Amino acid sequence: MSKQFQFKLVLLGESAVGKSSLVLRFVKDQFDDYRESTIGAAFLTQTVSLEDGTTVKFEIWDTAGQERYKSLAPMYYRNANCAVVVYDITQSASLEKARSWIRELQRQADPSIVIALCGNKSDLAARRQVTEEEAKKYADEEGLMWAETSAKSGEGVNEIFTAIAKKLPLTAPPSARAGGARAGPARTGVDLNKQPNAAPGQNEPCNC
Amino acid sequence: MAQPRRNTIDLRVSSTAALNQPRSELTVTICPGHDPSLKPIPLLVRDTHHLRSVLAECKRLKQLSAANYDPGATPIYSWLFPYATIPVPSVLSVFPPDLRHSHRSSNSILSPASAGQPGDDVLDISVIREDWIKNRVHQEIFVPASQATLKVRLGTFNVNGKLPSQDLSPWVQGISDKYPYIPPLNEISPFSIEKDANDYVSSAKDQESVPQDDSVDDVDDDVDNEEKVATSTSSVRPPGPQGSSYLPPLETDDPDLLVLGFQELDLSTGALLYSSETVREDAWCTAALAGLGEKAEKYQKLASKQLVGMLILVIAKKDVVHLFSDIKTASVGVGIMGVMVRSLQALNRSLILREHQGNKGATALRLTYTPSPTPNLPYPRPTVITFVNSHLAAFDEMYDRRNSDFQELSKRLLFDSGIPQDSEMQEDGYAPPTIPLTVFQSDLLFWMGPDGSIYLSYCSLISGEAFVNFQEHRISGLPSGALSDGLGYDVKRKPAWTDRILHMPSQAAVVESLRYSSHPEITMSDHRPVSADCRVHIPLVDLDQLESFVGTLWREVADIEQSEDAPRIHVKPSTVDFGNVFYKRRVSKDLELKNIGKVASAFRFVPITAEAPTHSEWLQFNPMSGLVLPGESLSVTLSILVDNAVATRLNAGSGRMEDTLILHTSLGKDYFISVSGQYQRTCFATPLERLVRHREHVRSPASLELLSEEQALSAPQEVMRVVNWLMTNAAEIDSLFMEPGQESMIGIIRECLDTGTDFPPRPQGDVDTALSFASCLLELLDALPEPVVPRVLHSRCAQVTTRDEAFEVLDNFSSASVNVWISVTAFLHYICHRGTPNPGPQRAERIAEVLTPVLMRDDPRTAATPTSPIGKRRFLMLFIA
Repeated sequence: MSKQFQFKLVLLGESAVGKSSLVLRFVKDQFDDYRESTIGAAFLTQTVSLEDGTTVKFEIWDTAGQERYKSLAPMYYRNANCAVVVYDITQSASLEKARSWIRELQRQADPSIVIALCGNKSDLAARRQVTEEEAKKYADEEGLMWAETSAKSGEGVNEIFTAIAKKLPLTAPPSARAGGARAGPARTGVDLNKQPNAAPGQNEPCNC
Repeated sequence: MAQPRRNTIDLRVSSTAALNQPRSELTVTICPGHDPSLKPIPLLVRDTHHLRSVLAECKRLKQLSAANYDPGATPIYSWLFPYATIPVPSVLSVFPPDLRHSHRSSNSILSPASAGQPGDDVLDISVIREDWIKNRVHQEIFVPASQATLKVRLGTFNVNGKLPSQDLSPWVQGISDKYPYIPPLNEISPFSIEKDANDYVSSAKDQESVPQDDSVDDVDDDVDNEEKVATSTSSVRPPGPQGSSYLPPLETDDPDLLVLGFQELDLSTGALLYSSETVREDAWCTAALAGLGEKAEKYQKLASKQLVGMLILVIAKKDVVHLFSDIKTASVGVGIMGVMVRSLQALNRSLILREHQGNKGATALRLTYTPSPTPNLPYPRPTVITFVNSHLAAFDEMYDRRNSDFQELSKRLLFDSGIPQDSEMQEDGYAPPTIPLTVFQSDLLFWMGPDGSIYLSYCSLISGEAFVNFQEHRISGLPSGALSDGLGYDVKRKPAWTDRILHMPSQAAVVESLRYSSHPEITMSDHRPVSADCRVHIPLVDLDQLESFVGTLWREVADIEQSEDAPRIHVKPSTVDFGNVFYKRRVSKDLELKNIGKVASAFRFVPITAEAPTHSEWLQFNPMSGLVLPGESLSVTLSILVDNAVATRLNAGSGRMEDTLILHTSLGKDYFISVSGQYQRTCFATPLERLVRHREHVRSPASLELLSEEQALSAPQEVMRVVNWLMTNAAEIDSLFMEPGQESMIGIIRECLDTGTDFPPRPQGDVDTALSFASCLLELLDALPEPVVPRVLHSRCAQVTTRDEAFEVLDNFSSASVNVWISVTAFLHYICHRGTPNPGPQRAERIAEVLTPVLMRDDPRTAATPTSPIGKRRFLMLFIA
């Protein structure tokens, strides 16, 4: 019988590096050339199956990259089991921003958090400003996972999420169950011999 | 007739469920219709014998439904709604939903949630959806419906153990030449909505300026012109508060229902031991009918309920009596009586005698009013009206007791619905218990409660504290005394009466209060009877129409939490800049939420963290939660209002206002909305001690850095500027402080004070400008976080009787306070004695009456008994008279 694990994953990084596109590619295998900037935080789920039959369900929070909303980010990476910090390989400033996110996570997030550094837009290698060596060296120093991806072509996307799933401590249950009550609605049968339940939050004894 | 598509009734043996049960079980799945949003209902059946009849009934009802719809139309099997997994909208429930819930904002019952911690979205969806359906039904069914009107006259009378020895007609019929003033019911009924006591007092004060003759004319008009009354709730003006106006009886307006509550019917010991005796009940019933005079033959007793000294009696007009049905009564004793009712034997007689005065509790009566069916209204929606007659603990010191009594009554005063909770017989062979109904499960609740002066605020009902803000002054005689000067209550205190009639309406029963009076001519008891006349407007709603409307709505929103599609909305704009924000000047901006997804989207605002408020104290938004259908848009109004408390905090800082709102869509995204504004600091609501340390005017950047205490000015320049202006320009104006200034002018003066600019020139002989300066001074002093006279000194001030003692008290003021006090009182002294056409002690009295509550303001937030207003006024008089 296969085991199923559930982990909370948060995406962080500067505005316009492609966090939402990365999630869209991972969850729906789609890509929009013109995506509006995320002003808020979106919640999505995707399940990854590992070779040993284990399945890992990611509860993903895709957060806004704009500086203005930086103060809200801790609410979303709180209790996260893993974080994907994204930079744009064509913008060296975005790697600087990624470094600052990683420092913040190392300081404030759960100490056991698995952090992956992700250089997106590898399809635009011609305009590259961040070399693979530079990023990899930094990731090695900080003990981070690292990969380059292209949300547009799909290259490397599934691979990095699968790698994270493998790296997560699957032997122990996740330390903090992610994301609050996200379970789908329970559809239970109705016992004819009982009164139907009252509307939630309203203590009416009967609605029959 | 086209055959509607066949519903499947699917029978299969459940394999797992049978394991733990001795009897076999069947799962029956019923598909409630063609609509894909209506999911099949799985039913679990143990009683296989009766399954056949259940299925037969299902088929019968299905055929009945099909027959009632036009060929081709989609039938709605509304009879299946109660069995749907998602509960039926409460608007369709057999029993009316709890009135307290319908007055409560749905936001207060949503699950705890914050940014990144969505809470229970499925629960939230059901709450928001329920609210949405309720609002739509209200707007589209109840509001446009024509109305039936029930005329109801209510009376409450603490008879102090007496038997009827006087004609009750003034009370029962309302014929009287004297109607002591009691403010209109809708103004003071805390049930009716969050009417602040101050609103009430201000409205009462407004009445004072209405000449007596006018008010009588107004009421005359209203009585003559019934339509006018029916269309405008504000058209009935009570007579002035002096309590001696003359009103004609509402002769053409005989009530359909006469509901009388009696308390302390019987003070003898026997009443407790032989409470089944109905001698006194009969006597009062007879007296009440006799009080109807020749009209008595048009009436009959409908029902009554007595518990020891408490009796509720309902008399109905014979020609409408058939419209009332399903009458149920309930009673409950609280406190020691509650114990006694249950175990009378255990208590000895002396205890009974001693505790008798504590005989408290309530009797209640619930009835269903069903309007006569018409061709357009074949199945009128029945309306449930409940009347409670309570007798709670009296006196201030009984506050806690009264509060708990009220809570206890609310819980224990239950009607028997007659509907079993469980269809199975009890194992012991007794009939199963039935569903109890609280008094709040009504469309309309009247609460007649003597000795309680139940000042229940709307909020206190929610929080479970019945008697928050409660104050009682035991006023013998006319309750109008509470508002007159003679008794020395200042207007900020809430007036109270010993006998009250309150109500809690709903969309299905709207109350129009006509008159609320006490009857001083009935003197047999130590209390005077009180009566209230009202019209109850009941929207004529057809049950079938209501069900099909709700069914249509339901299908649009029933499936939100099941949907495969994530909700998608577009929020515009994502940043809201309010620009410059001024003290007490409300500014509003709209957010537009457009549903660009395929599924209805429930949204709510959530705080950043669970402990944090949803938004800054200066920001409000409406609605806090809601639902948008696909393709539709909804506006959320954000507004900023800086009141005194907020201003005090903002005045001490740079005034930058910034907040990020988090709009959460259930099972979907969080949207961020940045809100900003630049607050313009003001001298209002700034402590005197801070004002004297400003280098320049308050809005100058230089004032952010305070002077040291040694460098501080002796008095705030803003106060001095206004006092000097008044001294120079307005000392001769007789109505100064007596009449209000113009809002716009006060705003201009405030702006001049805040920016250090010159006051506008006063037009020659202009009185309004002068009045505005006086009002501005009052508002400036009234807005101070701590009044000019420090609160700790109030009680000492109130005890002072000589000028020398008064000056001694001033030694304890801060230097800023004492200088403001001296300059203001010196000016007041001047205008009371010189420069005015009518100088003298009377003018000083009137000025003191206005200024005392400002200079020596009570703290409205503390429950502590405020210092005597008379003593405080005397203190001020020592300086200005």
